[in-house]
Amino acid sequence: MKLKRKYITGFLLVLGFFVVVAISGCASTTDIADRSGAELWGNNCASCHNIRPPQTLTDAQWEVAGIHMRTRANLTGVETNKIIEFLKTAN
Amino acid sequence: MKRIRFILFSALAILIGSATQNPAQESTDLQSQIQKFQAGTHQFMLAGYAVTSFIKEEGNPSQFESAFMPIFLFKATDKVFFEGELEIEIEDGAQEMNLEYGQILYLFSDYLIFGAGKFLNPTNYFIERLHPAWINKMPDKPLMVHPGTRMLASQHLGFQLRGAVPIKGSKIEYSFFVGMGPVLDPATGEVTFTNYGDNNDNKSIGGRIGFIPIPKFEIGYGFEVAKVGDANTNLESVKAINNVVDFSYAKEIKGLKGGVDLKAQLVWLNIDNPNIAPLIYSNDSFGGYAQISFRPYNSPSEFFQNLEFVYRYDWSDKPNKAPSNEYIKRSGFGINYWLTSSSLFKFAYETSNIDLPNGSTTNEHRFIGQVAFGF
Ligand code: HEC
Repeated sequence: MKLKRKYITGFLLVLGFFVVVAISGCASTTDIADRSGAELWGNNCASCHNIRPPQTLTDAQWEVAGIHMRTRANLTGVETNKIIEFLKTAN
Repeated sequence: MKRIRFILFSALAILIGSATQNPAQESTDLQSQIQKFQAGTHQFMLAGYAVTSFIKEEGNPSQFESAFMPIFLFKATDKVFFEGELEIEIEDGAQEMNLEYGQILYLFSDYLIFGAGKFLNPTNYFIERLHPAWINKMPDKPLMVHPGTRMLASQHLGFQLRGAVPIKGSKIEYSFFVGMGPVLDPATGEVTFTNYGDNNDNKSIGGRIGFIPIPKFEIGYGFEVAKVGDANTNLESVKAINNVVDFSYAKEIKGLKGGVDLKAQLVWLNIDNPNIAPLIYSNDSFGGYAQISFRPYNSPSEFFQNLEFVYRYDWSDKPNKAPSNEYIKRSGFGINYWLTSSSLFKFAYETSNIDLPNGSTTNEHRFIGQVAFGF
């Protein structure tokens, strides 16, 4: 493996980091704690896979799949509960 | 004759009975019956996916491969959970069944979860979060997590702690684990990541920190350290270190009537050079992938809404002096057609450019057609 490529990658990573910081500085988003279940669902449930429509699972199934996703996607307990409650009203 | 009359009478009685029953009463009865069914604190759910692929590699006979992965989920209480996945597959001329993961989870608090068992490697973003065939937009895994060119463990057997902490509008996520760690092959200098019987007392430790500044934008850094040599040999103190960077971003682009999705992961694997023959070279590998996909999900045509275009570049660069030294660079184009939110057809064409240990270069081409269904 060539050392030069390592440095180029390192440089790109550092550059990427600053882009992220710049973007997050400009973004005016509401606090996560103040977001509704529907909003949190939109924020979190479409980044890895297509959004799974609420009607595809029953209330009882969303309670189980919700916890499964909490562990997969590193959601907080509050976020998970709000999303599950939203899915139970929307299915 | 008597029997028929009896059946007719019973049917009539049921009809009259149900007609006189108040519909509201009926629905509350039904509700209470359902609630009775749900009242148990244990909840079970079967999830998973199935996938079948057709692979035509230039110069090799074409093949079909198929796999079914049932996922068993149990929720005992609000705090105690189990997830287990079996992987039953027909691949490379053999049929196999493996435990993909099996983990008991204890949800300590809003921000902390403890897990024990065989779990997907938290530093391996692709494997932990994107590998199921109905999620992965290409029909195969990137080289650095694929058998043969793997540089990072897919699973660990041990304990983990994980969670997330929101900070205003952004979020930090973390995972830390202790597991068995990889095992060094003293002849080839390669490490094996499927370690079900440890060769030393040293356990691997590692973790990942992820930062989500805005929704659908995530950047993460992961590391893993382990001694990989056999106990009581002169390779005992040889360490393997993984560094991993991952990136994920999804954005709707109104002008293009659809959404773009970007994913990338870089993996470094550095194994100590013990200077003991045949391991007398710097044993460093580097691999990764970057992928961009676009789906015109707001297009007026239903056909286009379900189409998705993908490009992935991945590579695997093994140590120059190792017997396995190969530098593979691969480009893959894919077109997917979504049938539901979790089932699709994929068609992909991949071209690999390979630098071989003898200094020569070769090209390989392959076509993969796949159908995947997640449930
Ligand atoms: C970090 C990536 C990621 C995020 C974010 C994510 N999922 Fe998933 N999801 C997965 C993976 C991976 C699977 C496949 C299951 C597995 O491999 O264990 C899955 C499976 C599912 C399933 C199938 C049932 C199951 O539990 O396996 C449902 C339903 C689901 N997700 C819903 C959601 C919802 C709702 C959200 C938002 C709270 C969400 N997902 C967020 C990665 C993610």
